[in-house]
Amino acid sequence: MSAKQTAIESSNMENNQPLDIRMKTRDLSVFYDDKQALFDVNLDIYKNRVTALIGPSGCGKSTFMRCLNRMNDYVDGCRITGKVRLDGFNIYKDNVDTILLRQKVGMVFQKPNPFPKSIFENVAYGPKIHKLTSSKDELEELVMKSLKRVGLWDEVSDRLSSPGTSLSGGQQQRLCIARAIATEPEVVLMDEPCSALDPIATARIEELIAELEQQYTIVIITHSMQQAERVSDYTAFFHLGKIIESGDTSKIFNDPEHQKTKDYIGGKFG
Amino acid sequence: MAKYEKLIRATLLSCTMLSVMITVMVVASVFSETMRFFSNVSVFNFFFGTEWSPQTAIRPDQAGGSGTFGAVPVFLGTFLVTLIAMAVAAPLGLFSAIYLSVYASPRFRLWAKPVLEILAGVPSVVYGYFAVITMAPMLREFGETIGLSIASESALTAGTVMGIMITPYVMSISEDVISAVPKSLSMGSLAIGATESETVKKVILPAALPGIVSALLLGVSRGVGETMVVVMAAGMAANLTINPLESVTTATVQIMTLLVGDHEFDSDKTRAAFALGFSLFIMTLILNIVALIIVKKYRERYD
Amino acid sequence: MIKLFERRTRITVQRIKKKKSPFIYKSYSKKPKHTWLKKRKAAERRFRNAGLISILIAFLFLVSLVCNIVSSGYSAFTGTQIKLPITFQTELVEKGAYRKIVQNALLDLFQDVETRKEKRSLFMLISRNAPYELKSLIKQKPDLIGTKIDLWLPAASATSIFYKQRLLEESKRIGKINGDQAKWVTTLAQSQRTRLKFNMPFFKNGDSREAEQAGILASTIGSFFTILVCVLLAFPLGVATAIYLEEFAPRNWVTSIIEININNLAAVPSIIFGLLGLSIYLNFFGMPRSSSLVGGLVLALLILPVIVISTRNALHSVPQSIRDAAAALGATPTQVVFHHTLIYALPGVMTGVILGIARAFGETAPLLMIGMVAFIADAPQTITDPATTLPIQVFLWTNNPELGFVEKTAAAIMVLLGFMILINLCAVYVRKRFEIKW
Ligand SMILES: Nc1ncnc2c1ncn2[C@@H]1O[C@H](COP(=O)(O)OP(=O)(O)O)[C@@H](O)[C@H]1O
Ligand SMILES: [Mg+2]
Repeated sequence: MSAKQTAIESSNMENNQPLDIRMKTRDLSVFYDDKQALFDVNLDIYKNRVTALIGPSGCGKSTFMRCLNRMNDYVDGCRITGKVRLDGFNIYKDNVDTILLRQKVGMVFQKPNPFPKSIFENVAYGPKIHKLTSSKDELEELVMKSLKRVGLWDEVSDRLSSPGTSLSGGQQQRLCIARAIATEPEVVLMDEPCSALDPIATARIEELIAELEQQYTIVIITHSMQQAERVSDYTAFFHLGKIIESGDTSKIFNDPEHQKTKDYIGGKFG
Repeated sequence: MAKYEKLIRATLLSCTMLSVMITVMVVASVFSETMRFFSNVSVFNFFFGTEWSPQTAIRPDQAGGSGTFGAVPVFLGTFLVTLIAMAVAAPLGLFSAIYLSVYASPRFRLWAKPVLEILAGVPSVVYGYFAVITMAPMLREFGETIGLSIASESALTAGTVMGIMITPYVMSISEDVISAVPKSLSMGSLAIGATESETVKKVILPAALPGIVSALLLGVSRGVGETMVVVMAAGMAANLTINPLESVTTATVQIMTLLVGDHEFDSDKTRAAFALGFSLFIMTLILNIVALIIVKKYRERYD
Repeated sequence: MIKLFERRTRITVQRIKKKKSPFIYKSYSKKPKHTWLKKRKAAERRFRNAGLISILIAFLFLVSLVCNIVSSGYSAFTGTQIKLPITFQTELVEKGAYRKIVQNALLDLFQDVETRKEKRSLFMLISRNAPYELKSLIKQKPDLIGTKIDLWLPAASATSIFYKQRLLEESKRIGKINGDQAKWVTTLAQSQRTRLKFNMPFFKNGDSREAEQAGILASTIGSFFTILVCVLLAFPLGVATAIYLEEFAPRNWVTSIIEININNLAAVPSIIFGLLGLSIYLNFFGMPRSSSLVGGLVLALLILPVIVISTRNALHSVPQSIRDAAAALGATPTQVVFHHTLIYALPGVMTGVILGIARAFGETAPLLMIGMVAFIADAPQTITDPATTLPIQVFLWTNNPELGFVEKTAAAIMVLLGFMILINLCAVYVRKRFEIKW
């Protein structure tokens, strides 16, 4: 119910924005101490679409992604200039509440990181701290809904109280996704969610992303060209802290404009 | 060639044997004196008796002629002083550790931790001086202004100063333990909009709990075995009390007073000191072993 | 203030059009969901402040400890001297009545002093050691006999403290100085007959009943002897044990019991080692009581586990590949250790040993138990002489109610802490300068 409410509120305020752009960055630069990691990045992220970020490692993909929900606030010595807008609002304005922001923009990490708590508590953690539910029944329902959505319910419904760390790698990652979507976010950021997983678990997560696309705006970092091609609608290619090329996935993969993009996708470097 | 090889190895082995012998000797010497003490004084009286007056009379007609060895007041005093010390050291040490590892800037952390560890390296006799010269008069004056009479050698003085002494120790271990919790866990919590305090309370502390428990146990073990602060700042008289404003005595103080300056060695009085020492040894040993086991279990969980 | 300590991400953004954002917390404050958010924010602030306050309290302790010691101790580094017109009357010198000479000089200055009681308090202005100084002066320069000369003589401790603190009215804290004495000292000061000099006796004397004569030389030498014995025993034994356990010992239950044993020894309260010293060294072997030999032996046991553990850690951090490389060149196992592993681990070993020394240096309780609490006026000559150590001197002086000893105690602590800092700096230097990073 609160998800709906916020959705309505934000759509009210979107009047003078093109409806399908959820987030956009303008001249976004990031410095770690004095070293610049991102150079004037401009990117639009479309609503209910999957945007893939690709590029060789160290090119600033994770840095860029952390800017989208201000996780860079926790990185020592990190400095940011430029604008990041969510539904038209600069999230780096002083009076923006990072807690509410992160509730709306969830994040899934490269390595599954379930808390050393029970499966139930892992998923219920977000709703509890944000008080998204008013009763125990509601909470249980929300947990069940989230677990069902990531396809974990059938596998764990009989052992909700066993520790989250007892699951397999792929299950743990899906648990983390469930944990992220239980706070009812609108944008989900995924930083190489499959890189620690085996092919079968990876396929499972890819399916999941395709399903989640209906309701969420998704940004995913991946090192696998095939995966980017399979799951994403838009792709941005990063190189040395700059976006070399961005646009429709099919365009980037079939007919890239830049030589570097071609080389990278063709496997010449990376 | 091979001869040298053998010789060196034999030397190393015998050094090791000597070291081991020493550790055994420490326990054996204290243990044998303790056994001799218990052949004269019943174990039950020692551990459950409530009167402690070990001074044997010089003339037979003096009161308390044979000496009474009920160690309850002594252990209670030890317990009281350590409790006060932990009441100071546990919150201060823990919160400082949390602040250092969660909120502090890396530059601040870089110099603050070693500076506070200086406090841990200060010899305990200096804390004793601090207790006698500064803390005792200060607490007494403070007590007077709020209408409490605090004995000059109160458990409160000794415990507070001991707490100051243990704080950096608890802080240092807790900080290590908290920093050892994988960063990915706290990031996972922060990324779904938890505040830092929620992350600490609900994710980091539960994960670091065993380590923190053992840091506290090690602190207790330090407090129980600490000598100079209590010798200088706590009393000699074995009062059976849990009032922190009164003077109490501790096991270490009694060992000291029974043995220092005493040239005669073969009496129940001196052996009582060994019995106290042995109890102390067992207590700290158990605390340390429990702490080690907890830490080991905890490491296994996180590898 | 908080900014000083806390990490902050610097954010430089251009302002955008004023518009309500769904993430701006204030605009939501009336809705029930956001009273919850307010509560969370308040809890966050409380928690962070608790941490900040704790760490500030810890710093406050450190600062107050240091200030306290320095402020009451620095004055002990200077001593007060009084200039007296001394007449070396031949018959008094021959009788050896130097005390009388000093007294005459005082009466010379204050001729209105008449009653016995007044005279006694007048004589108490000057250190009881002053006659001995005159005596040794005459020994050096016999031609002074029969002459009159102005000499600087040490003031008594109470006089000195009064002079240094300029407590010109009768003070409750100083029981020893009365109104008359205060007046006399003021007169002396006005006639330029007082001065402050660097307190040499503090560094070249042993303990003394007179606060102005008490010094730390004997106890410092005692400390030095004790540490010497301690290191000579614990260093080879500890390092050898560590080498054996780390490099040669078979991995079986005997070894692991030995390891547990040694680790536990590190956690035993130090007073237990005093018990051991008493029952074995003194009672069983009959070694000399109060000597630095026994003290060193006791402290050796205390730092043995420290050295074993740090040496093992240092050896452990040398990569296996180095051992393999040496062995592949045909070195025997002991050659591998003594030509390579141990050499590369040496900085770590030394750091551990130095930290062990620091611990031994500040240790008090076990030494008290083996009788190193004696009053030691002369520096020990050998390790079997009765001795005391610097921390014990601090302990003894703290218990001395005489006011003059309070500043001495604090000054001795300053010296003690100075040594500690020096030792620790050595450890830091060795680690920074020589440590090999693998
Ligand atoms: N916390 C940090 N401190 C300093 N430099 C960092 C930090 N995180 C990343 N960097 C630097 O920023 C650049 C981009 O890193 P990152 O965003 O992690 O790349 P990617 O995720 O594309 O592999 C790299 O050169 C990296 O060294
Ligand atoms: Mg990355």
